Amino acid sequence: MADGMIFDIQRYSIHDGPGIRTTVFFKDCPLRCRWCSNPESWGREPRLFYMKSRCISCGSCQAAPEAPQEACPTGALCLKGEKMTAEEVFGTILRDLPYYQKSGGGVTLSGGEPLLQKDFAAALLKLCKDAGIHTAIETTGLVPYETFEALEGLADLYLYDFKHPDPELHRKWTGRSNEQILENLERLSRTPAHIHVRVPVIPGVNDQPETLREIASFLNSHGIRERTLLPFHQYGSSKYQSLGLSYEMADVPQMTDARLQELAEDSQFYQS
Amino acid sequence: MKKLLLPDGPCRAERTEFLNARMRSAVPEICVERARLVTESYRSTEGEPYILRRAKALRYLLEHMTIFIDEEELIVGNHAAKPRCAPVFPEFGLFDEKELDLMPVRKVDTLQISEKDKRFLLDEIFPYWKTRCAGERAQHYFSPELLRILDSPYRVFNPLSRTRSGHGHYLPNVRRILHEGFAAVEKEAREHLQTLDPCDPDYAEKMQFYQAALICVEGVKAFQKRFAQLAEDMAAACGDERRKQELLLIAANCRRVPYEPARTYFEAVQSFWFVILIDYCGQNGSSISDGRVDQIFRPYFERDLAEGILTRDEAQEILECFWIKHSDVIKAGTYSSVRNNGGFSTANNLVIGGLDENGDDAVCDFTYLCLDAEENVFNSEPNTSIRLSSKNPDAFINRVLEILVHKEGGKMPIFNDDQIIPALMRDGLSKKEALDYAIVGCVEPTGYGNTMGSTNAGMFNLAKCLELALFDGVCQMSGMQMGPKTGMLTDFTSFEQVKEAFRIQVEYFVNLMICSLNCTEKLIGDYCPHIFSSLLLDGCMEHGRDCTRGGAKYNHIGIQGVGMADVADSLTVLKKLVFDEPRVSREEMLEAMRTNFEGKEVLRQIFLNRVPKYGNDIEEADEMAAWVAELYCDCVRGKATVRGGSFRPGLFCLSSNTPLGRQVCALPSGRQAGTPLGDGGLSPKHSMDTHGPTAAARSVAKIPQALAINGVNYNMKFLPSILKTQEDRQKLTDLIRTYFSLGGMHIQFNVLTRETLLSAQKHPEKYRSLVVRVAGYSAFFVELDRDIQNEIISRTEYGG
Repeated sequence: MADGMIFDIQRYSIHDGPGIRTTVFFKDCPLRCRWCSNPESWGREPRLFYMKSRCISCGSCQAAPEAPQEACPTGALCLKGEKMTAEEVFGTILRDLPYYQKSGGGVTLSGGEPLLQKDFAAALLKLCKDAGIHTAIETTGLVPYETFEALEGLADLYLYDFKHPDPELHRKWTGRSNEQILENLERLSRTPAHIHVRVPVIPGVNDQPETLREIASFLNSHGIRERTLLPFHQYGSSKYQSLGLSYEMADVPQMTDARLQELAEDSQFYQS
Repeated sequence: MKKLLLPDGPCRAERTEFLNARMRSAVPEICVERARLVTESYRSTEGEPYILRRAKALRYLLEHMTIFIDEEELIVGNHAAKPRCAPVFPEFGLFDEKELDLMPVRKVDTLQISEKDKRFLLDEIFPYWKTRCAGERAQHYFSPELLRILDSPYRVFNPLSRTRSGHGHYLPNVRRILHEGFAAVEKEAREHLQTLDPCDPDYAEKMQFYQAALICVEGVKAFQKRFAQLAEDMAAACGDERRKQELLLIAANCRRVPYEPARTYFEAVQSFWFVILIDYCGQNGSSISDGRVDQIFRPYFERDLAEGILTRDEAQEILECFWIKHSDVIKAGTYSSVRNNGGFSTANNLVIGGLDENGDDAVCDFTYLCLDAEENVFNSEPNTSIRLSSKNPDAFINRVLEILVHKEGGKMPIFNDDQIIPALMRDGLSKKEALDYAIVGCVEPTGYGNTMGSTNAGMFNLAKCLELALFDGVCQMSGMQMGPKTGMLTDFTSFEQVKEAFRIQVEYFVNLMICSLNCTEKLIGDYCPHIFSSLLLDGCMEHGRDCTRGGAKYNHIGIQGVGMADVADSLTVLKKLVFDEPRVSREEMLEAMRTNFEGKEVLRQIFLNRVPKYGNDIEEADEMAAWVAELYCDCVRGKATVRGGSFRPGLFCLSSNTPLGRQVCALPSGRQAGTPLGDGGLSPKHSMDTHGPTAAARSVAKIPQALAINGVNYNMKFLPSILKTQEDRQKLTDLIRTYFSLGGMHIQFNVLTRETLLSAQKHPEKYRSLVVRVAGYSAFFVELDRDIQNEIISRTEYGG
């Protein structure tokens, strides 16, 4: 069985599916969305991550160039990305079982794109399903459709991202066209899979009522009722610094709840 | 809105806003009137038994103290000559000139005092008490060993903490007074006096007790009559017809209660406030607690509603007047004491919800009136608490969380009925009594109206014991030999020896503390009987014995262990890095502790960050905390108190983790010398619980909490942003319920942003109404000591 490459496991995750959940973050992603709030997911290999605020400039890392994160006494340096077996990840997931049972929660695979590691994802989901734990997958949708077929019956819920209806603009903002994403969504919608579409509303990218209306109409025509607009936020901006990357949306203000509400009304986004 | 009881006039919201603004804008002062009256009385009773002297002093006070009815009040009764002022209790303890000079300028619990009043206390009142007050008499009760501890600035516990205040910390049986009035108490005392067995060996004690009881009841009658007269006089002089009618209603209440049984809801609420207030006027103790106000008022409310003599909104209006009254009661403490418990916390605990006498859901319409009152008033007092059973509806707890989010603050701790009720039954209460439990003060589950629990008798510094255990009993802050000689860390060849040395230090100091508290309680029983409280505790009347001498049905003394997380995290570091995989030599560890990690910051960071910490759902770290908790509880449990009954261990610390931290040198956990210990008793150390609230709560649930039957405290801090929606709050409700099903007894929240707190430090004038959860009590943030403010800011916050 292949190991997974995981960069974080977050307990008490409450905005990624029903109830109290544990979210497992998978490394690697086919997209490079310019607003990405998890840039540490980019690429399959582990990345060195540096939190300046915790650094005491002790120099321990320089004395250990082969594994500086292990020499760091403060945790300012760490590696994002760790090889883990499905059993190891499952062990952590299992710790919050009583919380899932009380709240109707479970586990969410996120990333990155969890479906890029489909065998590992399948193994992990199987362990969860066998333990009676509700499972969700947060996906970009940009994988061969066979991946969805391979996971049939293992995911109770898909949290399916929809960024832009226009292929060229999609490519412009995320690096890839949306054709396969939409085709997969269309095909998936014809199966019994439970789909909830989420649209990150990004200023200057898709925050026009007509764009959102177009998305809503696509969803309506495929009978996908569940959908949510997610407001653009800046929680990820400090991570770019930590990774030594530049972040072009650093100065874009966060989206207010009021603005999001207004857009939803103007675009009649929630009317299916 | 149509009214049935009150005349048409201001709406509820207007009255509440008016009264609350008045209370909040009152400038707290020292009020010397009580000191004068009590001293006059004591001067005139020299030579009489102390129980009679105290009863007469209370009666004299109630006959002569200034009384007033403030504009728009519906519930009346004042604690001092002006609103929100602190009376002086010279029979318990005195203030020296330096202390009085400090009061108006100290940053916490600031109290104004005029030069004239200061001279009056220092020149005319205190000299009389110099050899007579409890604080001064303590020296005659303490062993040389205890007196030696008193002389040191660094201690494991403070033997004097109880002498100045009196007991407080109990649940008076006010429900009985509402039902039967003090008339029933009077009748009972008379009957006992008439039927006393002449051969009873305790004849004298009993006779004096019943005589004292009758004197107190006379005082109560005089007090309520004075208010009735005042209200009638004010009504006669009042030009406003609406207020005149209200004053006449107030007068009618005061003519009747609390001497007679309450017939209506309005009378019941007035009676309730008089009883609590008189108790606070009589003794300097804090945390005299209301108990289950929703259950106590419920029958009166329901009956009046059914009879069509009261509207729901009028009941709400009267309840909010009652709620606001709680802020009137403040006590003057010394600087060293208010630094511990700052923020004028009287800690009158009022609890709602939970199970009824049949073990069914007790949440009712009136419970929601109480929650509305809490939201509309939202002061630091009363210390409103929530009893939660798995049988209570989610709507109840969701409403509590909704209020916290609306108000952005910290109040309303939540207690787990399903753990506490069985634990209290194991502790000796009957099932009926256990179902009727309430909370005393901050977090102490106690039988209603039957227990003198002295639940907050002292704080025990576990972290200091670890310091002594590693340095052969020598205090590193003073160089003094403080504890038994248990060897240096460098003498130990196994980790088990570290644990054993720690155990010996804890046991030695627990025993000393127990000795000091039994001595203190003997002193209070001898010189400061609590005769009024004894009228409100089952057992005293039957036994003819004051509650300070063991008259109550149940007796306890509660002492709390502080620093569990610091000790546990330190032990894990010692085990892993000094013994298991020796990365740090024992010499180097002692050197780091002695020098406060000077030049060893890298080592300190390794201790902080590279060793598992309690609070992350990691077995080896959590087991260490459970071991510390169990050790402390075992040392305390079962030791006999001078009043009968036994000592009870607690794991909570109010805000004493900050001052207690000043007493302790650097620790192997990476904590620096003098900095605060972990908050809340059970909480993981600040910022060390990095795996989120489900992991932290699981860790905390691994502590055998039911052993700490005197109470536990677990603080969580959330950002308002993750509790915005009803759905978010439901998830927190599920978290609480899961934590409770895993064994948690208590949890409480601050729902705040760091920015709010920092801004409040900078602009206190804009944040006068910001109420935060400090520990087992809430306080106005801006009234807290700066160090305690910083400690609250530093707690781990969960957000997304």
